[in-house]
Amino acid sequence: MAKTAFSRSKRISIASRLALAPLVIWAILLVLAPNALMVVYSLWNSQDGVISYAMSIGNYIEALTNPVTMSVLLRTILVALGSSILATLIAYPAAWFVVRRLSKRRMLAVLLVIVPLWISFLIRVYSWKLILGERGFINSTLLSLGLIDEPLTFMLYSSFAVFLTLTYVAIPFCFVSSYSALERLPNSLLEASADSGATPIQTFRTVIWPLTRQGAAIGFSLALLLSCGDYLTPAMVGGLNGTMFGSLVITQFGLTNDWPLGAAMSVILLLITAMFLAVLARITRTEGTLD
Amino acid sequence: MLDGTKGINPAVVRFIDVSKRYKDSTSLAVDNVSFEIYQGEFFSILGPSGSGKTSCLRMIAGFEQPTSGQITLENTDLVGVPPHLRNVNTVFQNYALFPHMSIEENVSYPLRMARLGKTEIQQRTAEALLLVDISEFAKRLPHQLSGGQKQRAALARALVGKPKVLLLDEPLGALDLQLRQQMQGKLKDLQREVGITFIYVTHDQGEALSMSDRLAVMSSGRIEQIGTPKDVYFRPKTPFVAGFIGRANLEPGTVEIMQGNIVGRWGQFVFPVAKETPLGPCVFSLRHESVILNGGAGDISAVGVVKDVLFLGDSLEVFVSVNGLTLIAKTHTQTGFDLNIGQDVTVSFKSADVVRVDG
Repeated sequence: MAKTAFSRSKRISIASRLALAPLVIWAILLVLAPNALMVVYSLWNSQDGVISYAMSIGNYIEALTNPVTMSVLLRTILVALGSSILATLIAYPAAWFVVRRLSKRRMLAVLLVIVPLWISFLIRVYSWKLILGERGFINSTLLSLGLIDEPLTFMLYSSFAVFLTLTYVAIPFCFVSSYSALERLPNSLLEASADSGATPIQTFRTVIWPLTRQGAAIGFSLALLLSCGDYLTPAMVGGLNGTMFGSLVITQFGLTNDWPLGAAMSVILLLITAMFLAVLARITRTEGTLD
Repeated sequence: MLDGTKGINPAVVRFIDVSKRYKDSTSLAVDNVSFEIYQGEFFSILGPSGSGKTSCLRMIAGFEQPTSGQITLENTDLVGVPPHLRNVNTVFQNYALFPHMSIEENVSYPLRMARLGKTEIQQRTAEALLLVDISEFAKRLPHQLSGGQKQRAALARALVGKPKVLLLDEPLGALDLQLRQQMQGKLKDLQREVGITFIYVTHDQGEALSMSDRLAVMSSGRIEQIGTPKDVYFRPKTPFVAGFIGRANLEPGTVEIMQGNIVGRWGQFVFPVAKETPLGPCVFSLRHESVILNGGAGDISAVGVVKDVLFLGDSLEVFVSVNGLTLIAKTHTQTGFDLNIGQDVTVSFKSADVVRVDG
């Protein structure tokens, strides 16, 4: 009796391990291996495009002591953080409005927010070029209204343009994750809070936000990851002043042909983003589960 | 609308011509309802789902606004007052405990929102936890508690702020039968102990009858009858009440004048009725358990034929036809053990137990 039970439980555990196998293989092949390879690359050296396999941290020292690289890194982090925060600040209240105020047209509203994701990233970025450009939507409107005599030139090809575009790109991600968290929040909890004498602001602080901030944080994280490593947006709307760290990295892999240095820079960016995400996960953690 | 059992206490909640129509609905959820609930009583609103009982409760809590009419709490108009400014608390059907707060934090929540002092919060929270006997679970999260424990935590949270009125929305609905019966007794004791007015919404007649001082029976947004449990059970005013609470024989008859007396005629039965009973065709109600077979203290009796016998375990339902009028008698299994279909049987009842229910 005991023996059968034992062998059966063992068989189940083998079965459940087998079921996990695809996940493990996926993680090793697509997550661990490429990153390990990148770390290894970052320790090698490139001499005029020829790679020497002697391990050193020279690339890291080179990247971290280059003032241009460092100032671009700082700007990248500021722009990425800023656009992710702004996108969350726009998307979370919008999701709240859709969940709480719309009933029949809820799905339509969600669809409208997500629709831009169906369009190529490149085209979405390009459209901002059309909006912000010298003969773009804003300038031609202001000109025809007679509010300005010369087209405004500060909007395009700047960190501001990158910031604006990245915010726009991030909003659907922030919206969807905020929406799914807010939608799961039972109405009875909000009623119970009001019933207990909590003002709407108190209810938000003590019930709504603690139970949905993880959703907001997931959206924020996605936005941060997208914007930190992005090189297309700065290339199209950033100009020289809007250069981002991703642009520098891709130069190492292309124009300069110094893969080890590019890898080292990628690792630096990876570690910094990972640190931000770890802090975020820590401060948004909430105990307890919704039934 | 109020019957003769009017309490000595003043009304704490008053509904004056209250109607409620929900958006996108053609019918009224609550249809011109007026009643009073007295200070310190255990008042139940009993009715099937969709009868408007929960709407009434939610309008007192402030989660819904009446479409017309007025609701007052201690003579202050409640219409337009948001829920957080009303001195009433609700025990929700699904408990609605905050999942990210410990039981202690849940119970102290109303006090913390009112920004009371730390020592007062601690003291009153401890008292409330003790009152419902869950002090030992104070540090746990709601999902670590059983249904009955969550229920008591929800009660403690609703009572800790010492509300004028406690609203209970089918609070025992999610518990199993045994726990439900235990909690019925506990709730009644608790209400006596704290002296707060309880308004209890349920579709379970057993709960309403066993716990309430008075109850209102609702159907289709209207109040069918308000009275003490005994009143409503033995003197139902409408066929709905007679049919919804307990089991009753509801059969047509007439009230007429015979030899100068007002009498009821029900099949071959003729019996005296109260002098003020209106004349004409009507429906009479007689509880199943008020029909006595083969002897007993009834003043009216006749011989009938057993048509059917249903075995219900501790009791039998015996269908007896008396000259075309079929009455159902509920009798103890022991008493009716040797009854067979087709057999003659004496049917008797007290004429005072027959109630005219329509009109």
